[in-house]
Amino acid sequence: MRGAPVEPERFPLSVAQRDIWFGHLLDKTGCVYNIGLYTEIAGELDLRTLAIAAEHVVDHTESLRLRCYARDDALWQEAVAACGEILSVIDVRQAPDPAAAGVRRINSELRRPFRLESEPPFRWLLLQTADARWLWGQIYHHIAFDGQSAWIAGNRLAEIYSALREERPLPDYPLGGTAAMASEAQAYRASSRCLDDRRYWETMLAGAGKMSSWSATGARVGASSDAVLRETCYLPTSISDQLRELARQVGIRPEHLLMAAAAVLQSIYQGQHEVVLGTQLLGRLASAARAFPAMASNECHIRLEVPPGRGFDAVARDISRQMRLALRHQAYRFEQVRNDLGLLPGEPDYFSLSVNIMLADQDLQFSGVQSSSHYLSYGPVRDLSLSLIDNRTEGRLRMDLDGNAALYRRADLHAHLSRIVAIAGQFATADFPVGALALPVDIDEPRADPVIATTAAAIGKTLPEVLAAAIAAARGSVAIVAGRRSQTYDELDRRTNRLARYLVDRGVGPEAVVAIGLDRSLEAVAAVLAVLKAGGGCLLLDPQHPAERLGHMITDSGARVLLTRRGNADIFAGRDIATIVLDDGAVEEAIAACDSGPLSQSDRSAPLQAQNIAFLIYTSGSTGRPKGVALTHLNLVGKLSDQLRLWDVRPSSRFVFSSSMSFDPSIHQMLLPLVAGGTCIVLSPAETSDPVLFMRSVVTSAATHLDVVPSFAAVLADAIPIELSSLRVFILGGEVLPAPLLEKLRSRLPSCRFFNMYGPTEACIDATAFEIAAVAADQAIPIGRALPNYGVHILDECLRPLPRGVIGEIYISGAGLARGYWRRPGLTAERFLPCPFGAAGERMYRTGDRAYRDADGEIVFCGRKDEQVKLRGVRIELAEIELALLGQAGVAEAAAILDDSSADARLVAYVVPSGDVRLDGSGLRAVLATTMPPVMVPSIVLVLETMPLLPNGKLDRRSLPRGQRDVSADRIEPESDLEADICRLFGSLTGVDRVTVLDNFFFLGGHSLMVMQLASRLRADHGHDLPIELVFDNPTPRALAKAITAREFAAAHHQLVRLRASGSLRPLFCVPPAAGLAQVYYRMLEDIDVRIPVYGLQAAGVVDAAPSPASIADMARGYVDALRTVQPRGPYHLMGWSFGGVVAHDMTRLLEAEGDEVALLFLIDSYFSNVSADVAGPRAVPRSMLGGEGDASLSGGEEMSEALLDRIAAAFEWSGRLLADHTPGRVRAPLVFVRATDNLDADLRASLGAVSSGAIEIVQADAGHYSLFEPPHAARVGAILSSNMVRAATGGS
Amino acid sequence: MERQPASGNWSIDGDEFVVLVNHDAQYAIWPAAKPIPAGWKQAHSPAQKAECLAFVERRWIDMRPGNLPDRPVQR
Repeated sequence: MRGAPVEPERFPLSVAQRDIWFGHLLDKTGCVYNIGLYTEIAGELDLRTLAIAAEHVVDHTESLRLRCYARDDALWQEAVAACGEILSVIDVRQAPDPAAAGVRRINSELRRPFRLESEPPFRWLLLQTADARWLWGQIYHHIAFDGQSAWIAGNRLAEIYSALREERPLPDYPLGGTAAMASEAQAYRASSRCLDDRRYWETMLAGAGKMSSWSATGARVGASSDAVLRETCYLPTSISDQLRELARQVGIRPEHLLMAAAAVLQSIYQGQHEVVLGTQLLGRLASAARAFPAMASNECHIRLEVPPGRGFDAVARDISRQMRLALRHQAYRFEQVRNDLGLLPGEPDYFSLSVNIMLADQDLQFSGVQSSSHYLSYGPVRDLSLSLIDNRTEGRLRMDLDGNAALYRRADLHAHLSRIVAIAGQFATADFPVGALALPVDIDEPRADPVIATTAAAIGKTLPEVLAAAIAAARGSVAIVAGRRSQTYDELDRRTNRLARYLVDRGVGPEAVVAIGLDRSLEAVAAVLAVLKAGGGCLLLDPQHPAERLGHMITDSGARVLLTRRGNADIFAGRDIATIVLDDGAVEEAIAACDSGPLSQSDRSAPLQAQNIAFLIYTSGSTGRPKGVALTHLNLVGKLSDQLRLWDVRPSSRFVFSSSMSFDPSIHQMLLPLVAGGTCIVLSPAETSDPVLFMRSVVTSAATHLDVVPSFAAVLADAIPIELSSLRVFILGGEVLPAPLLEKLRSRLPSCRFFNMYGPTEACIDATAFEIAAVAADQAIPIGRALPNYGVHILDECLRPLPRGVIGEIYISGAGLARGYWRRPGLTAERFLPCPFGAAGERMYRTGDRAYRDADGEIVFCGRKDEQVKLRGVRIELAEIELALLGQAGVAEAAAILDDSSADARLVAYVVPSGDVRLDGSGLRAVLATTMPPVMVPSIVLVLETMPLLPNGKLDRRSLPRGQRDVSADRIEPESDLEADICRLFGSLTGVDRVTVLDNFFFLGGHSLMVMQLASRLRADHGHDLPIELVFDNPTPRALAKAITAREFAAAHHQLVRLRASGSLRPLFCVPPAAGLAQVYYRMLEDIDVRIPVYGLQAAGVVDAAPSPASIADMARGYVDALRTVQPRGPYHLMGWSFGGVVAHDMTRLLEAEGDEVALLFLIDSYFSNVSADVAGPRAVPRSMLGGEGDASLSGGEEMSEALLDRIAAAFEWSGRLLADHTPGRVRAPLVFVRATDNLDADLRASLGAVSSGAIEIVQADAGHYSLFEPPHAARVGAILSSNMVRAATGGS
Repeated sequence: MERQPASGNWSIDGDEFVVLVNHDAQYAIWPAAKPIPAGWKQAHSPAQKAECLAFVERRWIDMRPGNLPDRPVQR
């Protein structure tokens, strides 16, 4: 059998293989592309015959003998002669659970990387689990094999084994598959069929939108992990049978019905009618190729419409038709389609879900012995992959859902699967439009927060009644303070009663609108109370607003009476309205003549009811003129009672009234303190226009409650004085609240409670609230849950409640819901819709805001529906870009728009600096580029002095300057020779004329192969030796130059010493103690397993003349850069003694922040809290930290000169200061702590728990802190480290 | 097995609506194919949105809730 012909020829890797090769290169684990399956064999096996059969299969299967390698700037594959053991036989019968142990063993093989250059791309293992019971494990690398190939190979082995056993002639397998497939592929690329296929995919995907990920974590781009999680689900027998029957009737496969269910779910998640799915097809060009096991499978696109009115059967039939078409055009490579679509490496596909119809698990026959096979892994999963298996022997339909572990938890996968089952189950019994589907809401899902009408609202009190109760209780206490003036409840009551009677006499009563045109003042508050007491509705007009807008509001509202003052009256002159100038002598006299006693219903023109209007608030829509929202007494009494409890407003409270009169928060800023019997602090227009004056007034008035919009809070933040101790509650609402702003406010007001409020005027301002506890800097602050008088519903366009994590539109119901738009019945009927979730006849308001509920049930705001834009097929939330900009230092305000004023639409962002900060737009843009997908990075970031605002203080998007060119882009010139060299190289490789330092190589048209050329040119022409993954991670000239420089700097500065360079296991990096030298660690080297390479790090400033690091974080940064030159990717093993442990811990924090894992962190008696032994210990450098005679010398070849000793002493002292300034973060890495006998920490476990959330192991040493690395103790430390690392490497726990 | 899909508009962004009215004489539009929620009655047969809204403009003259007792005298 040996000596079968071997083809010495090499062939270029196919397009698909090339992507896999690069993917493998960049894969941290090295095993993402491993495919694994196992076959359970029940019966006797003839091992000798099986071994011969296995050799025969390998000899006749070229792809099992492939080696893949890079040479001459190209990638090659070459089949070599088989060598070595092909089928290892392992006996696991002695294991406690042999079958499970066998599968575990196969799984561990699955997680072992292949070396494609030097190893066969497969591993076969035969595990004996019992007498006459076997597991045959097969692991393949995807570069050589696909799922179909594994099936062919398994079949071959069974066939040959059976033939040998039964002494039949051996089946004849064609040879030379690689050559045949390569030439077929070449012929295809030159064929008209290729052109047809290309046209098919181009036409099909033209204008398609990208599907959003099903991941609720919102990890949008690039955040992929190597690990894949799988959940399996069997459909109930009844549904399986119904689906099979239905498929038969419709004339499609049952799997197509499940695909349709998944497509419906995608459209619900996406909130769109159009769905794009991926599907894996065999990709084999000719029937001959089908017999060759090789890597040929191809991912194809399915695009379909799932509008709410379409029936489910029609969707399934469409899928079936599309699948047929995809099969016809499947030869055109997926990689090529991505390229045609202009997708960059790492950019997500158009689909997020790939749905694959699998062959039923194969049942091989080994000469009469039965078997059944199971897939463990189909290879990498970028996002989500659903495998559908119609296995007749299992009876039920099966779904395997594989999710990328960075995006999904097991529970997520389970939820998605059960939703698909729920959808399929509904459609199995009847066909109906997908819009009529009952959405699968999870059992634990609150449909909406329950609406609890408050007692006050329930019995229908009016505002004058509620106020009367407060006045009766607070008679003599101060109700209002405005500058130096104040008024008691008693005075205010009598004053407003007189004015109310005066107004009643002038025709004011229920449903009559009274315009109040006054600056924010004591008089204004009194006027509002008087109008309410008279039974009228208040139209608040801010005299600072444009006259035209005020005029519109007066006319539109139908107000017949205007209250104003001499100073403000001019603005309203000439209007057709009865104007009452309150400080006019005659008016004053007339009012004074009125009775000051309280008004009863009989004093009014008609009885005042809770359903009568109390306020008319005008809001600007995105289109059209401002419209009045009619708020009733019922709305406000319910709202105020919610706020009262939420913000704890009481008689001792002093609430600041600072909002513009016509801006809706003014209502509760005035009324809430008065309803509570507290004090309303009125700030004058002069005070609110200057942050310093504003805060001074807040301090002098001893205010307890402050309510402002976030953009104004940002202006105030720097003016908050240290002596402000009275403030208890800080309320923010009306705009998105950026986390950095909140942190800034909280740092200045540590004892304050902070609330994030959300709600439209149509729901009486605040409908949801979130009391902010801890916030992660990069996360949106939720808007929380519905207030007691409200219901909040997150619905899709068919008005169905959505499950957690799915973005929908916010609808609000409850007592706070406005009556409607004033005199706009049509608009009201369109926005205030029937609510199917509450009491009969209830309404709900459609907000136009997008949001989802997070895992805790809190609502997270996602921007306005009309602020969502689509660019290059990707839906983009402008709010997300704005939030990212607001997170940058010095940015006070930010806005983003889609500028489609020219032919090529692009994103433009605007920022306003805080204070005198100078902002650099292109710098901000570059920062965003590091965290956001390219399509979301604005083309320009323009710096403005102020944002254009609407009269209500919100951003006026339409007035932002458009069509601006980015002048700064032309100024991004190379700043170093290296940057210039790289720019030139980028240009010559991609053929682009002018490359700037911020241009992305892949965006310019660079691809993986060019990266190899780039690396070899940099090496040959410029002497820079770099691993090519450096280019993938740093795709711009600036970033790449920086990375190369950092790498070379570290190498040149002896920061890294090889203590032992060789070894096959993961290296150990040793961080020096305060003295800065790693050589002390030589003493433990002998006791560390020889397979572990060991590197020492040495402090900058000790081993060279570089400046000392300014902080532990700086030091950690330097060390991390240095260690990455040896091991570019994690997981890492780090250790450090004493001060070194603190640095190693901070390196861990850095590495974790950069997405890497530290698998083991050894801390050798380090102190994070308490007094550090380094600091409290000897002032001089302990000898033990320098290393003694016989230790190898420094890598720099430097003797222990006086100068060096001086630098060591300086570093030792300096480290004490660094430590004093250091606040350790919290890492995830597991800790192994070696504790010295003289360790002072009484509760070490707690101290360590504060710095790591990982497992903590404490090992007691038998030496003091400074003796740990003296013989013989160093050996013991080395042994502890070694055993832990070896255990980690061999998969033990 | 009945497999006859009902057609019509289920979406609030769709094109065919009915006008509903509740016990407070408040009017609202509703996707024509979607079941009518409790407490609402149909006031206009399925039609384009614009036609429904025009009907509401004509019909809903007094926007005060229908159960507002003792309507005030208009002055």
